[in-house]
Amino acid sequence: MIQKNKSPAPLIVKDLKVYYPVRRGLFGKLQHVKALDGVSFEIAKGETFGVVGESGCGKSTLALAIAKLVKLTSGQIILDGEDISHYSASQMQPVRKKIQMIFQDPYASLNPRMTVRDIVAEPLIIHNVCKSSKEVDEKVIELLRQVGLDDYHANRYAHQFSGGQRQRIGIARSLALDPILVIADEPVSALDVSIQSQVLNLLSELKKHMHLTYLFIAHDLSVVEHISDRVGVMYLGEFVEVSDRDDLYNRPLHPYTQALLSAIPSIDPEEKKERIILEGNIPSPINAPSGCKFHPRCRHCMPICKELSPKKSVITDKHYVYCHLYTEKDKKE
Amino acid sequence: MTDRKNILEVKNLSTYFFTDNGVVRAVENLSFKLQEGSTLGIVGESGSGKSVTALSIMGLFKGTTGRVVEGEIIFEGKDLLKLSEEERRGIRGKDISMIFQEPMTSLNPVLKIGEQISEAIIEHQNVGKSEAMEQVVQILKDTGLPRVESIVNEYPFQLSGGQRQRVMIAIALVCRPKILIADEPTTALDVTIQAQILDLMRRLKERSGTSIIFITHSLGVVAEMCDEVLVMYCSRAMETGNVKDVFKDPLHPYTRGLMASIPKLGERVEELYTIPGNVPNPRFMPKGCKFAPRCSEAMDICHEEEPPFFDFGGGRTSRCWLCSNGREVK
Repeated sequence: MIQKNKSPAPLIVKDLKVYYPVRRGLFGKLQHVKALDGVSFEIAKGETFGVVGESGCGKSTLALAIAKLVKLTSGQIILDGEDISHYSASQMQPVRKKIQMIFQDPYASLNPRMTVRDIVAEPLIIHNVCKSSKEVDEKVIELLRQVGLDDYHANRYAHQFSGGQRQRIGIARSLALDPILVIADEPVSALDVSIQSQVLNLLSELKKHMHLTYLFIAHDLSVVEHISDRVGVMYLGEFVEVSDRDDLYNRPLHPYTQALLSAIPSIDPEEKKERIILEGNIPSPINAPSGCKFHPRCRHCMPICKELSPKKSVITDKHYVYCHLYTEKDKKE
Repeated sequence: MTDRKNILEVKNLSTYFFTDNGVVRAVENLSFKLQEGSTLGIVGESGSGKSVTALSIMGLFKGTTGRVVEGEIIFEGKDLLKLSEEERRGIRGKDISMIFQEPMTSLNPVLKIGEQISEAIIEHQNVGKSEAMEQVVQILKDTGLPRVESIVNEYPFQLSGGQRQRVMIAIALVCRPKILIADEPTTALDVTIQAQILDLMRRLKERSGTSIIFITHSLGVVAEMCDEVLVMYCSRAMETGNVKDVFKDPLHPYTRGLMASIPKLGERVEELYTIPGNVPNPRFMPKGCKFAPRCSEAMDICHEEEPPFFDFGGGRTSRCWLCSNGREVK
């Protein structure tokens, strides 16, 4: 799947930080919500990189940061060989067509006053990629067919569609400009079970036919397992473990990944799995714990975890984890 | 399992909403039994009538156009639908209580946690404020909340989602109800918090023996929590039975489709199974079986005539013509 040719990776993210300033009260101290606190990863062409984590871990901020929809505090975003970290809004304009997003809520992300044709045509018109309005119409119809909608749907409004069909419209819009990277932020979590699988299959099919690269963000670990080639697990604005899909699910190393996986209810009523129940809640990202941010909830917590934040431990060239359990082991061996 | 006493029996329940644009049949001819001390899961997609079933049992249609038009809801030998509003108030929150999905919107934002819980106690038990407060502190401790003494004086916004859901559970359980209806109690929560809440509900149930109706769209949660299951589609029951039986060998094609279409941990398939099409619009319901237009096994009769329930004993029923080898239920 990963090609080793000269074309640059669609996305390289280096030590990305996004802090949101907050002030409690008029004269309160200025503090920062560290939504992303040093995130680095790469996505290869044709790859689906899944990001999982609980709410508040920074998943959505990551999506917004890469699309340059929030101000970066520091770090680098290299899109298709081009460093866009410091681009202004006007510099971003031509780059925007390379990154497209599919949003979570198909009820809120489509303009209720626009017809489906206008919604899907909008990116084509803004970026001026079609020569005539006839060409726009043809392209819209082609896109609608690609996502499994019919030609006559073009003249309808979003409210006339079901949730699954709306998500298809959102997908058609995101593909209009042949993007280099598609960011899907929880694209199926608002959908019913029987519709979820339809949309997931559509995303896989489109990826195959159009050689798309996805950044797929979700909280549902089984969905991420199904769709991803590689997976990153986030906790409080940092990756705690990144690995190719098979290795992560067969051999989760970080105690947080292990707990997440064990928390998923199985549909086999006979299956008795050992459940690791995490105590407490995700701490506030304003006053994140010292050392390893996961230590207050970790069942393997050691004294060092409270003091020092763990460095990257490379397990295999595709699997790395940020946890003192594994740095310790490396030293002994 | 089957010879336990039924604590609640719903017979041919139909609940409609009379809107300006016509009648919406939210629940249609639904029957089920809840055995004492057991957990019944009601599973279905959005709009299938799960929540309206819960509201019908609770009698919470004030201010809506909804009304139970037919059927009986028998609790301890009495038909709840024949009781006066005052008599139902005596049962609601005391004998039968409910946990709602959204812990943020179902708690009163301007009342302190302690006041919200003691409200139920003072309404149903003949006790004073200070005694009620003692009960509040005890029940909050039972739900595993930290620093209970200060939480009673806090407001809902000061708590996290999981903590709020624990408060909801405390309100529902404080009068030791015989039946607890939990409507998607973990849907708004993260998986790790969901695991905490499910664990808590299981422990509280073991201790108190409360019978539970657990409404959810997650088959995994049903497998984990429930003894019996009722699968709903388009306002109707499609299949019922013991959870182990239904999950091992689903009789109805809809149940089979649902189970096949969810991605399962550890199972890697190129393509997921999909149920084609969408849930029909409630105003344009198909004539025969409501699932027939999406069913891969549909026969001619399925499009013509709605199947009755076929009974296979031990609580297993299926509303499908493919199951016509079972005993037909009128």
